Amino acid sequence: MKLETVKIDQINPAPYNPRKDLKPSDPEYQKLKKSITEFDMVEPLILNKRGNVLIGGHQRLKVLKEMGRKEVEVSVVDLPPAKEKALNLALNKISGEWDLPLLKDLLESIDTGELPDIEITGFSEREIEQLMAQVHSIDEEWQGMPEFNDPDPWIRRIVVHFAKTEDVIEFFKLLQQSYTEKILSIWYPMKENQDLKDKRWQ
Amino acid sequence: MPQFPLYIPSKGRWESRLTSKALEEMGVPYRVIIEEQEYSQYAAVIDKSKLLILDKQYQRDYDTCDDLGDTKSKGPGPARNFIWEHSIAEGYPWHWVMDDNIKGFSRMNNHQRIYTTSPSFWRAMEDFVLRYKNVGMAGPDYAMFALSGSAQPPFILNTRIYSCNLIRNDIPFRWRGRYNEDTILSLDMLKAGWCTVQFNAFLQRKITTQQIKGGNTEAFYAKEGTLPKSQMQVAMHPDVSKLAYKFGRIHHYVDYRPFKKNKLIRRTDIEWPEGVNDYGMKLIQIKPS
Repeated sequence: MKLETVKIDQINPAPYNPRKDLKPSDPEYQKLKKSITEFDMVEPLILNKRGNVLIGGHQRLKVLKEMGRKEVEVSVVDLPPAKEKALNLALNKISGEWDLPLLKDLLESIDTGELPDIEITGFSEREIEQLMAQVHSIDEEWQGMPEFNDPDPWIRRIVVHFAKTEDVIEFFKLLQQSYTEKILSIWYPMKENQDLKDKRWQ
Repeated sequence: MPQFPLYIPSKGRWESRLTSKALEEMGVPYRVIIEEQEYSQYAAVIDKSKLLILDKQYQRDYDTCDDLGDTKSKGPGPARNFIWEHSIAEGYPWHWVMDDNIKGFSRMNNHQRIYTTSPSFWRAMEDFVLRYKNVGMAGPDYAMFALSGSAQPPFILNTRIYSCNLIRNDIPFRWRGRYNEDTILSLDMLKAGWCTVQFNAFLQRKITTQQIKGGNTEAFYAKEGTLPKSQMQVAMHPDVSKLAYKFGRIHHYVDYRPFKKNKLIRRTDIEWPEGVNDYGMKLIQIKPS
């Protein structure tokens, strides 16, 4: 383990950190503050030297800032982004409350094939399935609202990246579809939205 | 019926008054905010009890976000801020504000856009935003953007809400900017962590801005083109906006992807509804006009 003392204002919290952010008024925050006041820092924060990104210890960093600390001892690691995120998850798995949508985003972002095994995050596949079942889909949010059906739900979605606008336009020509900047996704074969002028919702 | 008040800021459009006519057809109450010098023209065609005169102080106090002062029109922002305070004074927690060039409203379902004259159109959107703790603004998308062939969900989170806006009154923002005030307000909210909801299930049939005369922005586009508008957008939110020259003119592009992290937070003090609720709307056959 490589320990270093770094300036607190040089540490960058991970924007994807999926833990619920504690507020000073939260009992958990108060407990943490009391513990640091009593015992000081008995366990170092974990910092990725690539970008000075904080991997473990976000709530402790918040408390230290409030206490006016200028420096802190950190354990420094050197990890690529996917492994950095996986370690964040593994370190955070033990306690605290998850921000489920952020957790879902994080799991999706590291599930790129780079990691040898998703379970190095500390989550089994079964646990991931159970957690994801708690994240609400758009369809679930739409419950109790007027009917909104897609009569032909998509069976496969492929994301294609283009380096140039000209290539996008060329792609649309090949598909014989018209291109506008507002289009975020398309159907192939094309499906038409129809204006039904002989019907009305009253 | 909607539970929150509907307002239409209007200028020079007493003849066309498309949105007023659409709301009359739906049978919902509304108010039109006009400038004092146009009172007689509007009073000749709209019930006087529906007219509110814009307090000029709102024009004097308006933050145009530029140094041009009174040399150009300040756009619809002053009237929209007047409306915001008016609805608060009347005790409402939310209000609707909409442009005066909307010829009607539609529902989309099964890839079909169908006009609606049901007042439930408004109530359904209101009920939806009230389920959450952190929606700042919502509204129906333009029907022309519910594009053929585009796979779309019933709503999109955290993007620009324009032209027909349901706004939460107790949030610490107000309209600002001589141009692009819809985008600026949307970004002000999103950056502070609020969510915005753009409905695809509910649509507005907006006439293209320069197709009918009048309106607060008429003076801008005919004389200046779109460059000053795009420049103001980039100046106000440079971190997510950029200028681009495409298809022979200047465009501005806003990147809403950073706001994907703003998630809807459900209220826990309400029973979550299930199934479909068409709010009493019935699909009927009519003769095409």
